[in-house]
Amino acid sequence: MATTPLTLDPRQTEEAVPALVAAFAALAPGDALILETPSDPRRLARPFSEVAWGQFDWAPLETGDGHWRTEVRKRTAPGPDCISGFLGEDHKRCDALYADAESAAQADDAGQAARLFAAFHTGMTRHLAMEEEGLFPELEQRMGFFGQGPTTVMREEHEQMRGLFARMEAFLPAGELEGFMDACETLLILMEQHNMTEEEMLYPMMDDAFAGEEEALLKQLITY
Amino acid sequence: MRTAGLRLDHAPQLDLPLRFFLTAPLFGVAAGALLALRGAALLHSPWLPGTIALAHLITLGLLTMTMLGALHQILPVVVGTEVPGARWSRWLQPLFALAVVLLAGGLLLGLPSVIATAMVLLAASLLPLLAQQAWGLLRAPGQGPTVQLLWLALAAFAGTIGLGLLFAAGHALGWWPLARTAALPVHLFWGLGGWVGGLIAGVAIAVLPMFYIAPPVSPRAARALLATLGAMLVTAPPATFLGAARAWLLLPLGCGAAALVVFTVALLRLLRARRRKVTDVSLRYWQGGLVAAWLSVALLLLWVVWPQPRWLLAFGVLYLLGFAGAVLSGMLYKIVPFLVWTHRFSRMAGRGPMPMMGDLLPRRQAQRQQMAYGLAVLLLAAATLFPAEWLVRVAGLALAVASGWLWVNLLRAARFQPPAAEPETGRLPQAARAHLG
Repeated sequence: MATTPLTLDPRQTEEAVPALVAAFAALAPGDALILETPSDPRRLARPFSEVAWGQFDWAPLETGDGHWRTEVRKRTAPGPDCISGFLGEDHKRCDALYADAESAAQADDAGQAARLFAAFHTGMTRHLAMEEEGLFPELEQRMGFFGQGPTTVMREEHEQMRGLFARMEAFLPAGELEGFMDACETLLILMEQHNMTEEEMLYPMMDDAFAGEEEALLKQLITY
Repeated sequence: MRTAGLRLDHAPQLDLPLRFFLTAPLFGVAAGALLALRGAALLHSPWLPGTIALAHLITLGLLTMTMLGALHQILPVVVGTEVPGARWSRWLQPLFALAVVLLAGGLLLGLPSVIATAMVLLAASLLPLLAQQAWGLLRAPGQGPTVQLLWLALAAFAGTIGLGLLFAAGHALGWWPLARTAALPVHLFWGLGGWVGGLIAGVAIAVLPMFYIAPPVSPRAARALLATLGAMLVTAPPATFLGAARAWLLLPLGCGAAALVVFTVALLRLLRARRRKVTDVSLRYWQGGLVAAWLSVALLLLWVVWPQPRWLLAFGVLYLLGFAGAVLSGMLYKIVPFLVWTHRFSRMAGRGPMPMMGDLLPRRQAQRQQMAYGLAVLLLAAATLFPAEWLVRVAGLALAVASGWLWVNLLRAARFQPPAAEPETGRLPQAARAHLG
């Protein structure tokens, strides 16, 4: 899997979008662009999706402080075309980053562990926001979950995960890799059990609840 | 819209599975102590009452106790169905433990009335526990591979209990409605292959992808596992009751070996494709357990063609302790700290200092216990093949120590209450972490 760096200024949308489209078109399936931008690149996501919808995955790696890094990968097969597929794939992407960060820590590579954890944390923060802001309120409205129901449990588990992310992040600057790996172990079953519950129950419920609105919703979600 | 079965906060009260998990290792201590005290007399023949007592301290007290506790957690959280009447398990579990103690004591001391009491208590505890699980499975929202394997395991368990109660009646009352030599292999295949093997397989395909971030076991492999284990259960009775020659046992044994092939291939594929590359204590237990399982099948095959008691005893050690005991120990090291952390500390996340699972169960302690357990299994296997008195007693002592160590590690995790944390880091003080090993 090859990556190609691409520096753009999202504030210059009229130049940035064509440049992004051209660079993306030159990619082989499975390869990715690493966008380096001085400001939030999400303003490019919507116009880009109008051109290349179903062909790419958009994944923030680093956000804020005047420097954003985003991976735009060319898919090897079209999709996803449903909420469960989109969010399930994002689970797998974040799982891979988590596992690689843990492996780097086990290999005593604090720098690599920190870089991979930062990408994982960014990905998970976005994933939780997509669910809590982009999907849960509308789902709760349509299904009549008023302060109880599955989304309430999911929000509670999200809070537990955020607490663990903060703990994991605190270990890395001091190079406390054993503590980091302890926190990884603690996060693992919570996160995997949570993901399994979502993929087997909550996401299919969303597919049913939002049937016919998938493309519009997903184009909204990638802007998170 | 799909909304059926959508109760997501299914986890049982913490004490329910914990009481099973914290009792089981004590039966390992008892088994090891018994062997250390009685010595090689317990390894002359698999059919002596003392040896049967030893075997059931392990099969019922150590393994079944752990597996029933695991089912109390698995059905709600993994399968998505509640265990009906789970609160009654607070009474059934100690009743079951007492029954096992009485069974072993009655057999060892040659007391038919005690064995009869044990028989009644076993029926009174195991049958309701079995019924709870079966009723819960009936109401499961899905009937995928894990549920199907759990059904197979429960069916095998029911048959094993039935035959076991008949055998107990024989020891207690002298009543043998079935030819013992024919019924015993069925009891072994159903109990060890169907109940223990089936449950371990069903749980493994559900939780190992989660523990190691791996793709799920393929539906084809799951169907093959179900088919081979099912064939073993179905062919065992005719092979033993109708087959005039011992060679007929090769039929269920062959099916069991085929199941092990399928399971091993599926597991190796899963581990090769896993994203999480860390090798933890659980994984080492799985690796050692698979090796022991293969050795045990080879020994059972040897016993069929060359019926020496030592081969069957060695099979028992390697299958029950080398494979099942090892794998279940690995699972306990994952499940117990997670249960305690989830119930007691997860809500502290983001609100202040919070222990990690490594604080509840330090990795080094688990690794050292694992080495002790591996040594115990090796010594026990050697003792069955070369039953020198000193070796048997040392092996028994090793098993008692390793089991007791497991119990101490789990108990420490279960009772963990964090001291006040360092305000700057929100972490436990270094002194507290060092104290925990």
